[in-house]
Amino acid sequence: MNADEINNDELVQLAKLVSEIESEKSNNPLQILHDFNVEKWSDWLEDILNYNVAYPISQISTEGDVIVDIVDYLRTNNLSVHNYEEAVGIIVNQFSFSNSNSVFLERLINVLISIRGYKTDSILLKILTSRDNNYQKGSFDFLKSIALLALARSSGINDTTQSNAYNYLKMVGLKEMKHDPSFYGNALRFSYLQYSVNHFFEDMDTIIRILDPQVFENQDYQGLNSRYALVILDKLEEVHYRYIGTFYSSFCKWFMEVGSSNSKNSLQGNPLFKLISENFMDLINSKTFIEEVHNISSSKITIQKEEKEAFIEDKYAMSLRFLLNFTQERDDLNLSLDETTEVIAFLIDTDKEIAIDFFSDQLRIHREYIGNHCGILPYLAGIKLKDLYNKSIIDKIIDLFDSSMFMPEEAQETKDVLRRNTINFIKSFENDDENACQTLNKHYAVSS
Amino acid sequence: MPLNSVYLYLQSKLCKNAASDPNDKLVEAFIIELKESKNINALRLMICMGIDVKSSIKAMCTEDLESNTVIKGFRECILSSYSLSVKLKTYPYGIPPQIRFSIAQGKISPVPYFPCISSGLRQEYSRVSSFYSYMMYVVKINRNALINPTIPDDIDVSEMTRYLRDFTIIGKYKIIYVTRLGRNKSWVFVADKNEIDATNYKIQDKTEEIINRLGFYLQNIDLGSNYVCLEYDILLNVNFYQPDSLTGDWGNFISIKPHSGNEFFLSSPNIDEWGRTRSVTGTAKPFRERVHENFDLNDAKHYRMEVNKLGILNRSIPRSNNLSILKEALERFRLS
Repeated sequence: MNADEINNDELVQLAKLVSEIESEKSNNPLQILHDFNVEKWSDWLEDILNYNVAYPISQISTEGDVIVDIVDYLRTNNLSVHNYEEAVGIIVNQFSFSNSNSVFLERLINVLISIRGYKTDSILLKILTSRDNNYQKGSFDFLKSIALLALARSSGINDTTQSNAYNYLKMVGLKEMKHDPSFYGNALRFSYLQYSVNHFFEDMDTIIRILDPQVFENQDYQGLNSRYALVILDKLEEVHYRYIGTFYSSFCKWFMEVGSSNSKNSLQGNPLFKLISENFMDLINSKTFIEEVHNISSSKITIQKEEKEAFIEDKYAMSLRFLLNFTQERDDLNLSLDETTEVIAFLIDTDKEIAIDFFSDQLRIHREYIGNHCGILPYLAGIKLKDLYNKSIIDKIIDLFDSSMFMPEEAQETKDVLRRNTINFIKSFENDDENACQTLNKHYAVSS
Repeated sequence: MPLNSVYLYLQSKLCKNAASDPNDKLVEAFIIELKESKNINALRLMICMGIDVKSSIKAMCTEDLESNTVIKGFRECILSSYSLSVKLKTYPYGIPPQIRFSIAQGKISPVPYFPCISSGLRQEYSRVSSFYSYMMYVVKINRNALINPTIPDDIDVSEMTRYLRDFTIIGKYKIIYVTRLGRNKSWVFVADKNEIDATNYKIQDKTEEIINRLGFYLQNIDLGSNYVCLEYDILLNVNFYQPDSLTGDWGNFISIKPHSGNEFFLSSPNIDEWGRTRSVTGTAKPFRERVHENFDLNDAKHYRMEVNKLGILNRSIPRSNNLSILKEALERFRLS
């Protein structure tokens, strides 16, 4: 027989053989997987982990990891993941941190992330909080980081594990965050996913303050070259993407509180804060952000409740953009004076103390810019002045008034409006508070 | 006896002294096992080995089997498959031959088995991948503040929708500088960029056509996925080879690698040092394909890749039946 020839008989027999193979019931992996108990799943996992091969299935997607892909595969085909989840938990529990292959553990943690709602969060907590020196530092750090991510993503985490993880992050984890941006990013995820957007900003704030400036010494400050700034900006985008309803209000309040050099919580001068505020302005002006804000606006048309919320959030978004513009002496926003006034009024209504504190401080810092470009100073002085009354506000208004003394000649008109508003402000108190009135009159007399 | 001609051919080239040489006897037993196996992948492997051996002999223009590196490679792989001390718990009745071959593939040194697989001239390559895989197995492993300064350290699988939005709307992740691809010993399949470009996928949605022609292994899990096309840097300094049985996928799977082959993989006659894909439907025109090893340049060098949107695969591509795959394999064997 000529070996090169494929004869018809062979083809007929081949067809018969293929048909025989295909008719075998055991070839249906779904049926086999349906019958898998916890023990069978453990065997399957061990085979895949050790040899990359297991019966009845060794590969699902073209490029993914089958032990992760199998979760979606089972769910897509309406099969329970319960036994598989149990098996993963058993195998993860068997790992001794001192002699295990970290790659295996990483893959198993990825399974847990994929399953969600698992019952093995205590194992993840153990990995997160462990301090095992036998590991190579890099891989161990990475494991801790993805264990933290798994905990962050868990929807079934119990209260004790949640608070233990959070306490660990607050007490010990800060050290890890200082040298590992990935760990820090996942800690921020834990913060907003397991707690709230406000927690996220608080925790972001904490790390910004404790990061050693030395971290940045050898890195380029310009652009997005700092890994930490990049992680923070990415997390800001992430929170914005998921929680647009509360994102701007939390960010705006935080920004006003830390953006003032007078504030005891000031982050002025912090290089990381500087990077974030510089680059977030571009981010917020980017197409993705604008489109999402636009989507919120269009939702006004349909539901009244959402309309109100949307409006408020829209205002916050606008306010944040305004503040970022303002503090960076940028003219990207092109707001009219009326719009500017409206934004300032909104901010003052939102948090009077912080807003005035922030503005009076910023006015001093940016007085020339404001005098030349923004023209907001008189409006700030003129808005709801009576509502602002208390001793500290009076001091701030006086500061504000003082700052007008330094305004350039070109801003004479602005200066005049400011003075007029301030005088009206003083007059409005004449019948209300004698002491305050005296203070202001005295100051006015000196200034004029 | 089905596939008897292929068996006889392999027997005459890989183990002609089976009666006297114990190693030849083992090789022969392995081929018999493949032939008698009731498994499509085993049969596919056997035919592909036949294609590769024939092609290599023709390319070398000599019947000197001793110097044929393809034959050497197959023998090495088969013999080492016997010495595996592997005990798979999910194969209670012994490990099938194609799986043993597959495991042994990772244990032999992946040297180029000239001439069946040899490095080609510098060409332009493209690789199609799901967006998810691109993010997880290309972007994530190349995050480095110096070479990819806009990629954060904590890429997360749960954020894929946002990453895709950023990729689509503002072009983030469109350019990636690559210093490593995949991990472990594995082969990465790439296609001829010119052929991929000729589909006009940048102008019209050609996702289904391209996925089909590439012969991607597909399950339900891939449906609805977004696909992208990675264009390789022409300066990428790694060796590319024509794929053969030693680079094919026979049921094994080494994790976290960009692409390890698929159930439609077939060896090709040695025409132009390119392999040919086998489409999912079995009727679409193949692409020219090659493989390269995974690499890690330890940040010492990096290469630019441009990533273009391909589209979404919304529906299953009708899979050709197993018989037609084996028939095409036999046809390729005949043409080799």
